[in-house]
Amino acid sequence: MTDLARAGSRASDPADRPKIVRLHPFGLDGARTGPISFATALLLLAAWFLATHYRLVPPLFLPTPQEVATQFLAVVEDGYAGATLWEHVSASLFRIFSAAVIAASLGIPLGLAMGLNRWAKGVFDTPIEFYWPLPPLAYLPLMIIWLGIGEVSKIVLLTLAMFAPVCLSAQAGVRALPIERVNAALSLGASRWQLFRTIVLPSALPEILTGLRIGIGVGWSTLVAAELIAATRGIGFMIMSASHFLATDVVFVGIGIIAAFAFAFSYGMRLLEAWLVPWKGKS
Amino acid sequence: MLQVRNASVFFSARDGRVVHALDRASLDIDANSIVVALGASGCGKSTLLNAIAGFLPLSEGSITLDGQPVANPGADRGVVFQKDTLLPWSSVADNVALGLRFAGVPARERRERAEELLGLVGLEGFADAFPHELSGGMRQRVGIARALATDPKILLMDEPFGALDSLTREQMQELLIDVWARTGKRIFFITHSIEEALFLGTTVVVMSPRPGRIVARFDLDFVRRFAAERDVRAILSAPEFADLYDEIRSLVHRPHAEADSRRAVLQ
Amino acid sequence: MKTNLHILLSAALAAVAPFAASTIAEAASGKVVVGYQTDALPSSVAIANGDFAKATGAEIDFRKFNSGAEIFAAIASGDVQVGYVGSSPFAAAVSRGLDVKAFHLATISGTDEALVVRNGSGIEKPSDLKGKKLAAAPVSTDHYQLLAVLKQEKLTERDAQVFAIPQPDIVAAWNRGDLDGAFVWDPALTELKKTGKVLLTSREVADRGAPTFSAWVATAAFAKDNPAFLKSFAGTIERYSASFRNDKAAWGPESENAKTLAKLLGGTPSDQASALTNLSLVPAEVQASTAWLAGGEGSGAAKILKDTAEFLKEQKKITTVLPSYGGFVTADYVKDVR
Repeated sequence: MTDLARAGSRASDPADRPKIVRLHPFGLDGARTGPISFATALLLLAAWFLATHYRLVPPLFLPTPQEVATQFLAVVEDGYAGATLWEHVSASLFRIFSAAVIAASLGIPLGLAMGLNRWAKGVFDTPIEFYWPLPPLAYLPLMIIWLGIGEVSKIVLLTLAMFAPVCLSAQAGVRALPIERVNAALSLGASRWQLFRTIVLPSALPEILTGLRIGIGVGWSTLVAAELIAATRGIGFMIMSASHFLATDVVFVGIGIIAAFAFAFSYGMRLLEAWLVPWKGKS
Repeated sequence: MLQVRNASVFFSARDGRVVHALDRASLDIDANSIVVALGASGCGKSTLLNAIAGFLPLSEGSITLDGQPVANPGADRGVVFQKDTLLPWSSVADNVALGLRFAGVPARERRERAEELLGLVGLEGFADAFPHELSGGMRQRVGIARALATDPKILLMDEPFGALDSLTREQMQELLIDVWARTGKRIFFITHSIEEALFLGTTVVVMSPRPGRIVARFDLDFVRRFAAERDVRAILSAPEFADLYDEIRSLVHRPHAEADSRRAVLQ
Repeated sequence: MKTNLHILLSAALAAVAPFAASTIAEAASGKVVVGYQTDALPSSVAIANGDFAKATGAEIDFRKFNSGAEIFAAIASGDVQVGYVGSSPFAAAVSRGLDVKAFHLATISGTDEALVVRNGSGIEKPSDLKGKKLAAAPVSTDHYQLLAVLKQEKLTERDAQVFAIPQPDIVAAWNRGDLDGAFVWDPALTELKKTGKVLLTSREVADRGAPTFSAWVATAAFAKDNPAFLKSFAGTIERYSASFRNDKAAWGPESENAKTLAKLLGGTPSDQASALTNLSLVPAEVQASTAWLAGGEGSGAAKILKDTAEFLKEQKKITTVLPSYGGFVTADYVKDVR
């Protein structure tokens, strides 16, 4: 029998399949972690259930999963503090969305300008580098004093928190632009405006979308701080109000809701990125 | 007619030293010619190309195209880069038609012209593919088609086949000769491969570094022979080819040793 | 490379060590952490001049809080052992399972807390509260009484906006004109009265059916282990209350006491002096009776706790009302005080 024929029969016999190998990997190297993460999540839930079932922790510190579930249903049915769950959620979503729109409309053009123009960068670098490391809680009292306790102060606080990641990523997008691409466009006869619209903007888009995703994440984590400014609606308000009454089970419900939304947003942004910039990461 | 007269370029290096990148280079590029600049790193060939393209100003001297001085990049001087500069978000046809879009040409005409050029470079049927779906050689073909789309007066090629494997490189050289034969373009080509220079050039300009200058000029015929007979082996095995190869090699390895320019015209 | 890592680790440990050491030291030293609030009380002078420490012989760390809710959160975490709180957060916290005991009744609903309405808000009587923007510190007795007033006027949280925000934020919002009314205690009360007028005092709301009180509480564990401390603590409070009752001159706007209070709590000495006049203090003998602290479930304080809890449950602020609140009040530490 020839080698070829022998190889053919060997491959078709399942008991005698060749041993599949690969180069020795280092680190993760594409290994599947999904099932492990899922199992860990189940384990944590089980640990939570057992810890509360055997009263290892005072109920004030860690409510039982059943209590949290009960409170969740209660909030869904009867609302909280005189407003339905939907009213709280939509109040929070409205604040985050408005702030995101404003932060993007200001941050993207300014970031691009700062990446392209010496004066823009020089002038705006100073205030931005100064304020963006500050935690929003630090300038929250100023927001109250300057802008009051209405929606304006909350949205401004959220906008400030979200502006920096968007602006910085737009700058990075311009910086990442390969000079050859610019030169190629110029030697094809591009005017400055054409260069900006057809080369700079699409090239910076992957970085900008990443910046938006980070910015929205920052928005969710700043939401609770923003809703400390005299809110009567909102998920952050719900969490703080419940904590004042030491109602940790409602606090857990609020945290769970924020986590669910934040995760959904992050996932949605990734889908958006994959749709808008399919070329990212491909050589 | 592209004329380079006494072009000199001085750079400031990172440590403050002055680098004399190009020293009084003079060159004419006529229609229907392929001028190849050949030399080791630092000999000034890229500097010269960048100056002709308009990416770099001159410290001294002049470059004129049909009498007009060259100052900024423009559609009259097409450039093909070694690195892939295609727009990853546009299709192949849209990439080829980019210069036409800048010029305000309507969409249907752009598409027709793009398909025509893709046919010229052997990529019929790939109009709607995307750059990441193509191999390196195919992407360079798109780059050439794109540069030709605006009908430039001169095509500047900066080591365009340097990043390709040698088999693909040979295919691309033959393609370039085809395109040149059919379009009659003026081409300025940079390489550090002596064989490539001899194969492609109607004129080969040998340059050497420190300071970057032209040290020899050879008017050649091999490319026209290939365009007519299409017999690579005959050319590569011709004794004149080997002789010139040796001559140029010793020039490249011993800079400034042969300071006279020589004109060697062969049958 | 190895030396650099060593240096980095040693530096990190050296930086953290003092903090770790002090926390451990604090826990072991037997220091008592006492949380107080911003109300003007005669006994607050004893906080400032160290009399509490002298009388009890213990090392006391006094911490100022903006509300009873914050004190209870600190008590829940174990960082505070004794605190001054209102009946409303008290009811909410014990209904949630916190085990504290009220050992001294500080004040009852008086004129030291009131619903103030801004000049120009158009509010002349309680029914005018409809559609207005009101505020009170979260969970406080003022918050409770504000909600009680609304309920009495048949208004819900949808008919009037109730902002539960800390007192400093209330003052800032008031000064911007963002609020029409607020139920507050000092120093916010004095501040708001400058541009507004009192609609209802805490006593009036109590008379309408929503009584409140403020008390000094201690964790049950602390009370069990430190009865002498609590007795001396209560005794010191009574000394100062007695002085206030009998020697008006020592508590006037020019007095040392008023100056000390201003230094500790903020504001001017005359503000503090006038704030003191609004207090309704309860003498120790009265406290020790069933009207307030004695009698377990039947005590006046326990009844108020139960009523408050039921109201809060009805308002959906808490989920459970305990069957009895008697275990959370005790007259043991005031009954021997004269």
